[in-house]
Amino acid sequence: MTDPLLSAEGLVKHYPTEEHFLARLLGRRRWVRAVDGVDIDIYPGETLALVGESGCGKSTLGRALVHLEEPTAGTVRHRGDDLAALSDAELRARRRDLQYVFQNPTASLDPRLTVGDAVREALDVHDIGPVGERDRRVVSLLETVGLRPSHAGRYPRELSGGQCQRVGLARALAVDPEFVVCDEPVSALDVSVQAGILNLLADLQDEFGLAYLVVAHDLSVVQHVADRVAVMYLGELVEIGTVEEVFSPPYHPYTYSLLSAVPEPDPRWEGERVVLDGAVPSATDPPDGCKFHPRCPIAQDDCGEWDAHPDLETVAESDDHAIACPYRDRLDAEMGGDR
Amino acid sequence: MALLEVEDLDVRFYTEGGVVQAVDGLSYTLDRGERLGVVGESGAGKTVAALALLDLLDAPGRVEGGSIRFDGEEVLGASPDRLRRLRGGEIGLVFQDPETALDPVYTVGEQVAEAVRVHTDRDGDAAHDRAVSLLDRVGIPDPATRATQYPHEFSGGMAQRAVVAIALAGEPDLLVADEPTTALDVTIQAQLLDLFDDLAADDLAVQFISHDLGVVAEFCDRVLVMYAGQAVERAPVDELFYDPKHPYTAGLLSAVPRIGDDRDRLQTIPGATPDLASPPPGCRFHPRCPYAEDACTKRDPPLAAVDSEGDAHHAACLAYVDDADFDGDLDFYVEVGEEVGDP
Repeated sequence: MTDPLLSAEGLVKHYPTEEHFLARLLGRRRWVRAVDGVDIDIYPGETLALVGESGCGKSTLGRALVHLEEPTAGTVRHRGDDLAALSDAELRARRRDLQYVFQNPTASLDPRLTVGDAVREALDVHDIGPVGERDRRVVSLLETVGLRPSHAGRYPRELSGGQCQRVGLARALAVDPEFVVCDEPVSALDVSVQAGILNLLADLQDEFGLAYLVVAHDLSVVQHVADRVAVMYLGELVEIGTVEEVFSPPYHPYTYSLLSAVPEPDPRWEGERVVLDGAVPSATDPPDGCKFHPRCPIAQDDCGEWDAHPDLETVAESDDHAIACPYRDRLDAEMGGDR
Repeated sequence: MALLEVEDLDVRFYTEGGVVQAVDGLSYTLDRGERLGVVGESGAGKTVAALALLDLLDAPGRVEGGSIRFDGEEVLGASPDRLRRLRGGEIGLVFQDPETALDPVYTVGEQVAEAVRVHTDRDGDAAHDRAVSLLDRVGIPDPATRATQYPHEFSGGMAQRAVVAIALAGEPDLLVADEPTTALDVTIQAQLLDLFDDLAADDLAVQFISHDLGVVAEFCDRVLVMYAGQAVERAPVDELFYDPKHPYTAGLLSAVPRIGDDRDRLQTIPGATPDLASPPPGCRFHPRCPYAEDACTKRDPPLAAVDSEGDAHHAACLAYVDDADFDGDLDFYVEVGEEVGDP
């Protein structure tokens, strides 16, 4: 197998909670364990999707991978070099390879910059191409993402959500990156617009050989765009594998519950639905043992008693498919057949 | 008699950019205990139509024509007193974002109790007890304690349940839910849908506005598809998903990625929704319609029954208007694979 483009090892990101002064003084500050020990590799040209419920740390992991967040512990290596060990100038040069498209397409653009200026800013900051050529490059980038040259003179407020998302992509592509994190690229868009953006992402990948990390909560979107999927729960990965592997048995019980909760656009569908109790526990005080055990449909007596969470274990049939649940084989029996 | 009858509803917004026809000639009915889904893209007029039901439109929006009858009684032009009894009383409302629907400075219990006091003759302790039992009804564990907490202590799903409890305070016959699960995770959405299911089983009619066709397929009995302020198709849920008659509906359905399909590319609907200050002439969908003909640019098709037998399935397309000069054939193919629904 080829070398990974980006490789994270033992990645941890904790944030302090906002506490009042006295608590801080007495050292009673508490920490949100947003990302809590993640190992993940991203290979050139692939699309890896990161899924999970709100607050599970998906976006934080995405940001830490391109060093928009300084990790609390662990390393992220890009082509073998630890991003945290690079100087500011070196890191800035790496930014040309590692790009990020933010979740809210309208909020991530400066309302006072025209679309053309917003895209050109990326070229100017990284000093890409001769100055006289840059306007022409902006126009060609806009065309690449399916906008018209005339859009260059417009302001973000004059564009629809889908068009703003295309501008965000044009900005990211301006520096000719090899890896782009797309944080919920379509969650703010209507289905018909969403389909257009998903097709565009696929076209750009074919054209420029991009690798994507797509952070998403919509599993049907994930199934459509991704090569591999990582499922995250409370700061940890609970399952990782190719789309086919993750979306078919054996499952992690959490993946199974997520999949079964997706409403099927088919009124005649008659599947069994697992409805999880409650919501994701607080990341400041996660449960002991397996973090999922309080909501798990097949939790066993000892699931809360481990010293640490169960590790990702490779599934027998495949080297790439790993699940962090020692009792996964019981899922079929307890759930009465597969879904 | 239907519980709710909306006929020829027109809503306009008077803006600097011109008069926007946000809702144009909308007609539909809703029976007791029925679940009607309203689907369409942003700006189709789904929410505006729902707000018009309760005279909740703010300037520059105005209802300009039509009739809304609830339980046989005209709502448009009703007295402020009557409207107050309808709003949150006989018709309950649930909006998309529970965090903004709740007031951060009052406890959740107080907010439910307030609705109880306004809409029933319960006072003081009786109102509070009723509030706690409503919180229990919507599946909030330990309701007596939760009633004393503030909205920020509630998760998104729990806050939405509390909003539903407020909507139920006046013992409504109709619940209007505008994207009630859109802001929630799928797992929490599944819990909320269970709750709505349970409520609808109690003979509560639900007008369920959503852009998520999966949720609509699961929850609704009938569906109304809106495009650019107009109803373009109205059908029982099964027929809509398996035999869509309007090209827009067919386009929407094929744009949805589904678990278990292995299409390389998603179908898109070319173009964008029109500017409703100057909608295209004729059928509003014709600039984006793959079947559009000359006749479509001239005549705005009414909702017409798609076949002679049933009266349940209507579509607003010239193909179903008898005297129209439309010679094409619409032929949609809906693919239902074995694996669909079985990821």
